[in-house]
Amino acid sequence: MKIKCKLVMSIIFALTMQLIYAQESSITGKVTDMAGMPVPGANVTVKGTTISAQSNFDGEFMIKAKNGQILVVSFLGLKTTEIAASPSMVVKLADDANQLETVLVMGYGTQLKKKSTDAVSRVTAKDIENIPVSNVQNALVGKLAGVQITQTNGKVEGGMNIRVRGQASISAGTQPLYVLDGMILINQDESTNGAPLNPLLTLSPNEIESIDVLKDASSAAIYGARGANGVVIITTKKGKAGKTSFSANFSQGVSEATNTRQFLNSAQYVELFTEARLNEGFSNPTSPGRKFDQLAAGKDWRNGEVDTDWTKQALRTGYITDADFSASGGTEKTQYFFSGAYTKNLGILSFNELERFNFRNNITTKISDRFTAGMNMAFSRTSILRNTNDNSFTTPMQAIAQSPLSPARNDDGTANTATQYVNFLAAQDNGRNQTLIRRLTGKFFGEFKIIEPLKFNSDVSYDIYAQTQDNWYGANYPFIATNGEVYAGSVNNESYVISNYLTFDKSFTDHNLNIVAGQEFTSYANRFQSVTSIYFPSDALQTIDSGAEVNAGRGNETDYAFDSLFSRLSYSYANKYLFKASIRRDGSSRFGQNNQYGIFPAVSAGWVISEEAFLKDNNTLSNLKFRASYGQTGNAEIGNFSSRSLYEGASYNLKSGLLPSQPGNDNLSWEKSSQFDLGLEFGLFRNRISGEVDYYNKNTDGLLFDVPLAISSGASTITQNIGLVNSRGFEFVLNGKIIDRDDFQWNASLNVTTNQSKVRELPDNGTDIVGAFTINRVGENINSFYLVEYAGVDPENGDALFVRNTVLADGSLDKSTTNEYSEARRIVAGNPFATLMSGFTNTINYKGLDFSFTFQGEWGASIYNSGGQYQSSNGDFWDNQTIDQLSRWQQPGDITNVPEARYLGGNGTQASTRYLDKSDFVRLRNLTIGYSLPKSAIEKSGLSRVRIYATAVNLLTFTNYIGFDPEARADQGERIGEEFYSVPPAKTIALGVNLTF
Amino acid sequence: MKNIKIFLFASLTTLIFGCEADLALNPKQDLDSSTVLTTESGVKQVLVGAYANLANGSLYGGRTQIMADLLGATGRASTTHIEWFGTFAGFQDIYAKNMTSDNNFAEDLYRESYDVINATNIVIENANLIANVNQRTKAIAEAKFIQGLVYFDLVRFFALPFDATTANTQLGVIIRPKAIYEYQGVDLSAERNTAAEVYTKVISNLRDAYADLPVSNGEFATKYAAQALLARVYLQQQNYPAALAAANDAITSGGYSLSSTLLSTYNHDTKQPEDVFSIAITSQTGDNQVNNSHASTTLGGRGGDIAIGSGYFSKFTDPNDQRSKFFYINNLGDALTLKYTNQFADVHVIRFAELLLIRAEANIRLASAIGAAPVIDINRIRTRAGANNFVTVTLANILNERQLELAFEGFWIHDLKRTKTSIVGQSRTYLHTDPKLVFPIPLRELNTNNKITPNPTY
Repeated sequence: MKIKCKLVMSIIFALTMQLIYAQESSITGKVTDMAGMPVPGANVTVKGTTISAQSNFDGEFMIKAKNGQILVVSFLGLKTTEIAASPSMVVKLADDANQLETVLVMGYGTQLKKKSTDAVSRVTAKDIENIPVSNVQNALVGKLAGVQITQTNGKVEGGMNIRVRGQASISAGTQPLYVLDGMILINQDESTNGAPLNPLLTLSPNEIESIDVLKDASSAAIYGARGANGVVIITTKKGKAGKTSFSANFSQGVSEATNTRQFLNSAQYVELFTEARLNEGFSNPTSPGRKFDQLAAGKDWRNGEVDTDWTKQALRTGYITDADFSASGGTEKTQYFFSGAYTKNLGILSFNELERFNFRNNITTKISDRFTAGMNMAFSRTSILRNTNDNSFTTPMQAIAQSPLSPARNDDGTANTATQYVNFLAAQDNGRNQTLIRRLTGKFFGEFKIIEPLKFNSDVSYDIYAQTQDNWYGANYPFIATNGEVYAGSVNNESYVISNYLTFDKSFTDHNLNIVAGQEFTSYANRFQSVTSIYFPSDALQTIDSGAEVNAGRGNETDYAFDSLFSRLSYSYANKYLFKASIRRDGSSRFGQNNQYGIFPAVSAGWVISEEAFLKDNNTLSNLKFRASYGQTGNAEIGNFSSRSLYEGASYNLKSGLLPSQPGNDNLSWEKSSQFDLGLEFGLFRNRISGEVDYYNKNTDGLLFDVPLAISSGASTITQNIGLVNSRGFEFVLNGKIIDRDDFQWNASLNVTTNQSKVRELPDNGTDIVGAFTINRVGENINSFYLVEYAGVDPENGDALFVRNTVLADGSLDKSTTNEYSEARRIVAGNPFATLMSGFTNTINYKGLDFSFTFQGEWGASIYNSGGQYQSSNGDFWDNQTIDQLSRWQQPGDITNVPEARYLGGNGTQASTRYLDKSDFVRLRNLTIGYSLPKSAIEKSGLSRVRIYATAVNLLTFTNYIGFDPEARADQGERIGEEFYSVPPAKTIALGVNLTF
Repeated sequence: MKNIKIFLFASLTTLIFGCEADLALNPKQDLDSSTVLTTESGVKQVLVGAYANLANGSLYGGRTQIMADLLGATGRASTTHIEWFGTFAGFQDIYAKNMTSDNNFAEDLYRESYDVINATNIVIENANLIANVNQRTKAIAEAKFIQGLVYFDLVRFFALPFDATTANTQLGVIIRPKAIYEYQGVDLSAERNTAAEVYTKVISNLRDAYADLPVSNGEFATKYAAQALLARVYLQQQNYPAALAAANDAITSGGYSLSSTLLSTYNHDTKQPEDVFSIAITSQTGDNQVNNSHASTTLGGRGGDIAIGSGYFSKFTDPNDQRSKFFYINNLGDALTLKYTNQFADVHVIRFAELLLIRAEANIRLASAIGAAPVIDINRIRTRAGANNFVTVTLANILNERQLELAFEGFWIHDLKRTKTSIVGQSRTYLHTDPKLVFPIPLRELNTNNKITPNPTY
């Protein structure tokens, strides 16, 4: 096929050549990009004339021009270059960093950035490729203004928390909507162990062309009831007409934890716990046969025979391998893109691995002049070895609670089970927890030009996320009393989306009009089943069939549907005055029967001041645009049947029963976000310096709340639309081309985001909603920490002190201290979310060398270590203690923050600000150095480009946070802003090579 | 051109399909309340659901029992009957008697109890849907039994102790007289009733249950289970004549007997003659939390969160008493009771030995010998345990025997309170009326109920 096409094209080219030949004086040349790859389809004109030509598949062109005449060479996405004509000339086009020509991908269409009235952040392939992380979202960190991306912790499959312009909800979903090539992706966490499993880790970065994040109502309202948390539009790569271009990438990296904490060694442990026991009148643990002998399990702790560093048992050196290739090209009629990728990531956490392959095929073909059709198809297989969640004895990180006196393994190599807590090594030696995700996403699409300027698009997309979970627990697995247990679970999530829409796009003189109107139907179904069997004849038999008793089984299904109509009108006059309006009507099975349909409108306007006559020829201010938008979006992530009054099965002794499971609310609806956005875009010195400033203010009303009920009522919560949160802040982006020469470019980009997400109204006339360590209170940040204030240690007696904080008659707080915890009241003590975020990226190309780095910083958040009551409790129990506990109070007059060591004394171990710490940090998020071999060195090999590179993730972290890492947070349950035996993220360094041919 | 026609046709059909889309989806694992509460079978199923709720780990799946032993323990190495080695901070705080109002286990007990109360109220109020009058009466009686059981434990844990010498006007717990169906826009706040009112409610419920329940009812509540529970309630009230009458009735008419050996007394999953009322656990349903806290990891537990303390062993007078050897050593060298070695075994709520102990204690306090002389009842239990028989018994003997026999089964703190015994703890001594021996009204309830009064010191 390829050869044939090329043959045909060559003939056409030859004919053209002959035509040109017949005329006089011509110039031939070749257009390439900076890497020397031919650029087909580039437009070449002789300046000041209408003479023009196009480059062919090999980038070659011939144009009627005289030596020395100025040629203007242009190609979308590359920088337009003017160059004097000469025989056999080579024109190199640099990447066009001019943001104004950028094409933004919106829902159901695209728009030039210079005509856009939206607040959209965008990254392209080159920003995210070759970063050694196992999910795409992680590669975006620090690169998008207004978008905070936080990984839960360092597990390879760990959850990602993405907040677009802060948090617009408290109890409903807070994650943005993901749209891949127009199809809404399934983003349903199907973890079975309580810790999040990122459903989007099935995406491979190498097939992604760009990611556009729709942040304001003007851009997101076209997604109606699902747009309130922002929309992430992922566009995959497409082929371009031209000869097939192959590229391949291989890299291999090593990783380790960004940080660990120091715990007591054996001698220190003995010292602290002997003191703690004796202080409280308990028996001396050093006596023969007592606790220390028990912990040492036959080893002589007195001679220091054993001093186990349990952190080293839990964490290890990780390895990451990436290999991917792609081929793209096509004819004028048919373009294709194929890609494949392989990733293997041996996590830094013991027994935590991910192995994935992805394949993609995007094909578009012009069936006739008016009809284009195509298909994007991708499949992937992701295999993950998982650990149990953070709140589980068998998770490796809980090993840090073990005494250093206990050997990790016995002399025969088996796990020592005489440890204080279950030794996770016994779990690893005798168990396996395997998740396998098979995912297929496909879209079939057609575009029919009815009559110029009207076209019709119809898309059918399908997404299947099929996950199996196989857990094997051998006979010697901790807590297994049934001679083995096997769990086999499987979940199928499938979704199909049918969209049909008409687009009218017409320019007449200075008027430019674009109208989109259409209809969309989304259907989602989830089906889960699992079975467990126990009593196995052998550890080698690990499937359900071999168990003597099938003792548990589950099966359930759930579904939802959306039925939507949408329309959008964009109008611009003379590229100066911009206007846009959109509306969407969404109906959903999720909404209560009194509220089944919602309407979501948005309007925006822009004024490109620099296009006005008085600024048009200004050399300093090359671009100035002012834009504003207001609109409504909804958050429909409220659960599938939350409005219904329900009973669920509750069987007793194998007899069926029912119990109330959910109080009903017929009025339940989506959450309504109204967002106002004011933006200013500017460019200076022919846009060498450019930037954007945005102010956003988003109110989310009708907030979905699981309103706590008096638990003496027989129900715990009811889902209601009560409450309002406000999220607002500024976004600044500053881009500069510091050096811009042919062989030396230095681009810098700084983004700064501020955010305050505050609670404005709450149910029950603003009654506080109090969680274990957090509160939602009117006027405070969402999920503020709410804790008793720790006041250090009484120097007289070593008692932990707390600030009373009771309200005095005059309304002020009593700041006196007490050693009686129950006398102290909780106060708002911190914010779990950052209020200031920044990213700073520099890219430097010098001849064949490239160098780039991204710094990322977050300020204003705190983390509560809910494991602190065990880890840093001045010897309250046998858990090993952080090294700082050695500075405990010992005698009257001691000034310290660590109370007297009291075994089971509860001296300061209650929940308080003692375990809360600010988590501000700055990270060197990425660092990449590459070198492209000179053309001369690779010419003979047939390769067009060879680049070797070294890249690093999380190389440096600057923080005063006392815990493991500001991105090591608890992954079990609703533990907002908590650390609980959480795995720190990986610091990775990789070496790789890119090949293009 | 043919292609275009196909495409147009296809898009037209999808357009039509899209418009026809039905948004009226129904949940597949849940039933609408309207379909449950309009049918006879629905109401009967809710009653079974109430039993299922009882089998929850936070209730009689075992944590109700565990907490009574934890709260009653001295925590001193030399005297404590159990040692707490576990990691659950909530349990440790109960053991150390320094609970805070957010104690999760106290909250679980409270919440699950009220879930049971509401479910049983629903049964009682909708029982008219049950056509057969006998079945209807039985369903109401079972619901009342279940309610009596949970109210009794609520008032024992969340209120200052019942004192026969006072009017017991101390705050008990909220009595919810009616089922709650609607939660939207309703103020569900309520103040606690007095302890006296709660006891009255418990007794009236159990009397009704006794009157209407059948003698035999499978794994569900029976007539004499209600009577036995009444005996326990009266004993807690120090109303010895009523306790004696109820215990004697259950002993003589209930058809119960002691199991022949200690081993056969525990860890079975089918009803034994000694079982007056137990929570059925299967490998599929129920959550045996006593096993979880007491057993080694190889026997389905957490490795021995609770171990037998020296204070228990020192209560034995006869070295041959099998109960003093009814333990095994885990890999940390701790002594774990053999009472809970099967994670799928039923969990006792009331067993026959307790009735003998109640009758003996009431008889000796009243200087009577109704049913049998106290020494005879006590010796029945001692004989089963292989211990030497008493010739005569004192009240102290009986109370000691009670601890030997019923240890780790959820009696400890309640017995100390009714016998007005202080606990000499690790750091201080707790009178039986010490507010630290009372669970805090959960913070979760305080936050959502603007009428409720917290317990002192919390």
